[in-house]
Amino acid sequence: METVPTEMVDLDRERLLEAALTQLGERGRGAMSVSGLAAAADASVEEFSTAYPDLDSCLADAYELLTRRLFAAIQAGCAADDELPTASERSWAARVRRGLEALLGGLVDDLGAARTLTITYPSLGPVEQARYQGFVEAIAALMREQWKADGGAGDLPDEVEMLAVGAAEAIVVEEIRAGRGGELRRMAPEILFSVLVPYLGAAAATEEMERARLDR
Amino acid sequence: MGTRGTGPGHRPATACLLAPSARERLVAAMAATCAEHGYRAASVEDVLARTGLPRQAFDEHFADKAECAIAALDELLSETTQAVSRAQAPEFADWRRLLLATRALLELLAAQPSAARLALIEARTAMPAEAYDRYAAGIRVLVALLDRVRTYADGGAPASATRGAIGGAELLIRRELLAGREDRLPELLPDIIYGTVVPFLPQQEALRYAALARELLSDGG
Repeated sequence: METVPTEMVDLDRERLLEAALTQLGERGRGAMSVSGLAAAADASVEEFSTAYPDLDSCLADAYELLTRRLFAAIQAGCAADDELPTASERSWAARVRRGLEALLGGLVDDLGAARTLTITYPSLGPVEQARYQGFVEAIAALMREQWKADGGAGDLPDEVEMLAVGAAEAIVVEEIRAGRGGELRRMAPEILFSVLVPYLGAAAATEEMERARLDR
Repeated sequence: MGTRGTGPGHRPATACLLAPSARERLVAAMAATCAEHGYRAASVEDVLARTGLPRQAFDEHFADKAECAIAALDELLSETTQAVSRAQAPEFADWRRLLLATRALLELLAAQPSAARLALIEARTAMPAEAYDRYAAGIRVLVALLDRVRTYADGGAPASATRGAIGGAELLIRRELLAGREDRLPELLPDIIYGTVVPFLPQQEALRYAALARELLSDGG
């Protein structure tokens, strides 16, 4: 029996997942169908059925793809870079800033996906809400890891990373919901303040915010 | 007009004065159903099955599912406002009012996890715009509370810092609600107090308020 090359299967699957995200954002889950989604992805219903038992499984994979891409962008932004010329550019706060800017840039560049990420998909039910919460908590875990790796100390509360990430999440979701998602890149310095302040305190977080404003 | 009737306001002579009314039972059942299945999947039939009431009872009180769910939000919002107001005694300093109000709020959410989930999770994304308005009204109550702390700030915090400070607390509360650990909500008081005041006060002072919150928890006072 002739087999389809793995790369081709992966390519088709990715196209299917992209189409699922687009349709969810544009039409909502209620107006989606397997046949409509398969057609949008240039696939047949049979091919869809080989890959997924139902629409919700496909949406779960599509959401996973979306969150994985954003998380990778944040991780790349936060990565330590010894090549950077100044100590302030190599600092933990500067890495957090680059990670935040990567996230906000990704959201602003595709506002439809941003809405799907934060509102449309989590609204589908408890399982979907838990996946969104998992994505947000993964960012908090990344912050914890980076803070520890940087030797961050101080008698800070146990939940400091959740306070930091929750602050950014609340502002971001409110802006997206209000149709002002396009403003997020401009708001990056003040969102940075809210992310850094639980770690550094108001004075140092204000300095970082001002530095980010000047660099724009 | 007679004293006995069969309309919506009528109660049988055997009804206990303290027993929840049909409306209260429906509202509580709607919150529980939404907590279990999510607002979108919740149905009036699920709510009736929980209460054992007939469809007619639902129709006497509510036009549809949304109206009943919004009534649940209104009840929680009203109780939130009352809990926060009770902590505003003039003899207390501002920091103590914030501490007591936050503790009261966490205890309220812990006591009513289904309504808390409806307000902090479902109303935020899944419910009609009217529900989001209730959620936003609840956030405004908390913003007003924090704005009192903000008056002590030396001006560095941006306008969105208050919303951010409340967002940190919300994320923690949502985590516990989604994990079914609502009984742990009051224990979050020290970290939440720290997160809400640290944008506006010197960090050491914010840590001191967190320590005071821990004392309050251990004293039970």
